[in-house]
Amino acid sequence: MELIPGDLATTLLGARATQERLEKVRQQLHLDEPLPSRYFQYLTGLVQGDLGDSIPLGRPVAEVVGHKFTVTVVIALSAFLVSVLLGIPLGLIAGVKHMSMYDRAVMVIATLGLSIPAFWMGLNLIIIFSIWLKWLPSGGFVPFSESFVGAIRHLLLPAATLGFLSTAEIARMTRAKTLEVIREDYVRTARAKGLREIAIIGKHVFRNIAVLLMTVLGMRLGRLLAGAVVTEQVFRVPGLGMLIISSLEKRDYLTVQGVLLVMGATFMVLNLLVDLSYAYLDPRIKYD
Amino acid sequence: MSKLSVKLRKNTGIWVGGTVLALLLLVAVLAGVIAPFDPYEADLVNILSRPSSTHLAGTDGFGRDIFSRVLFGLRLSLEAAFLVTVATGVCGILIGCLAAYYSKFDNLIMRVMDGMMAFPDIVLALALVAVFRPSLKGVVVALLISYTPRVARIVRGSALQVKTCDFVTAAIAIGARDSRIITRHILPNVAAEIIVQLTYIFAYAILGEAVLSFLGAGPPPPIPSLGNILSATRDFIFTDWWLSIFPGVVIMLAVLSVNLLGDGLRDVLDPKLSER
Repeated sequence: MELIPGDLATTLLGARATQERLEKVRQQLHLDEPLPSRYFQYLTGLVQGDLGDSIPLGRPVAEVVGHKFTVTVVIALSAFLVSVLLGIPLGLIAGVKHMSMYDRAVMVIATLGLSIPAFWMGLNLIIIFSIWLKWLPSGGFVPFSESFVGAIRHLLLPAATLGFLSTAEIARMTRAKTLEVIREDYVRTARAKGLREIAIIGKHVFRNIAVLLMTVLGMRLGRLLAGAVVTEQVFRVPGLGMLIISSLEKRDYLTVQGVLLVMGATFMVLNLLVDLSYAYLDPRIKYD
Repeated sequence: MSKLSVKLRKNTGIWVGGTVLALLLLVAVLAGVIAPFDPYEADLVNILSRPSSTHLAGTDGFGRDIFSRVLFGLRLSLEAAFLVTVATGVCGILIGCLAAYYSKFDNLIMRVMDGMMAFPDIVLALALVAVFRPSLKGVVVALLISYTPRVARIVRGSALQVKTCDFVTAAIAIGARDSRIITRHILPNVAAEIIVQLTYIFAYAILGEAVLSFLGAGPPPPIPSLGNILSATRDFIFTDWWLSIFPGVVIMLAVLSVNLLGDGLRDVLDPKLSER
């Protein structure tokens, strides 16, 4: 943000701002102080939960970011649920029925999923479900506290859009891990003992790929938070994505910093939770 | 070498992906010849017209021919993706090899890379574009900074494995210079993995440029970019839904062809997968 050319106060208030207002904003943002001093003050504020004040919005950045963050988390978690509920079963079927038409169909869906831009997918879903069929709204967000049915209806299209790419990646990864595990001796032994296929997949295959999938799922959730930026623009959802875009347009760099900080911190916490879950899923893994 | 050429010839993904990509590259290069209209020429009499024999993909809100704009937008997207891929490859290989070969710098370099990877790609790219203002240069630099850590980690991982091989130990023992060991011994043995990863980076870069342009961070209108063409269609989606079809199909074809090519190259060049 420091590399952005020009005087930040003039950029925020515009060329017509009075000298008095410009001086006031420069003092508020400590622009007359050296960079290390400003950085130290920012860190001090951060520890106390103060991310500064947004000049264009006239509110504390922490308050604005906190409110929008919950909206983005709801979208990301919905998409995550969609992708896990679809991706893992599709990947398991493809892996177990390797080289069958199910396998080929899943691989085609997975390859398409990785190639279709999420925002184009979203536009097409709006065309089909909002314009032609008129089943679902084309955008907006309704909190669960206001209306459960309304919230679900507004979440379906953004969750499907954001979840489609994740479904493709999770299905591919699940298929690859299933193919590795299904050739193991203990699976062959289980078949030889006469166990039903569903028991073999559930007890032996899935349990052993769960640890391997955790890394992918954890990273996916982090990426979904980022992907929500684009989805929110398509469906006009008032989350972190819309906030960062509008903040960049208004040159509200304190808010941009706040959003980056929150997203980066969430990513790191998710990675930590993924690492800790390994020990829970696989008793052989212990942390000192 | 003959085994490799047989594998290359038999791989459908390489053929299909490579052919489609080659066609798209040809179309992009010849956009000036193929496009029936000037992509900047507005025709206010024919705004938002449906696809017809004159305007194959219809016209936009300024009466500009969408087919022509998409062809030029494809050229810009492929140009951006190529620049990002080359720059990411150079930076990623340099950083990865340095980190792998000089273990005293490894920790520092990788922690910086981890720090950069802590931020989601698009969000980091958006913030970086703020420094350069919406432009092709901004998009290329933003995507370069976002993707380099990924390539650096992969190069470092592969280079670390090759570094333990006997031929590298022998080269060190006879007193070969570090630059010679890295360029003559380590790099050729990690080249296959780098080629595959850079193919995927090319696909990510096409999508990344389209996303950033869609969000308004790419080359500003009236410069045609696949992302900003699609972004403009959002405002007319209820009345003129067809506007978004052609640009989206072109992005999808470009990314799909590169992904198929990448998958095919991985199957042929990655020894672990080729043993199945």
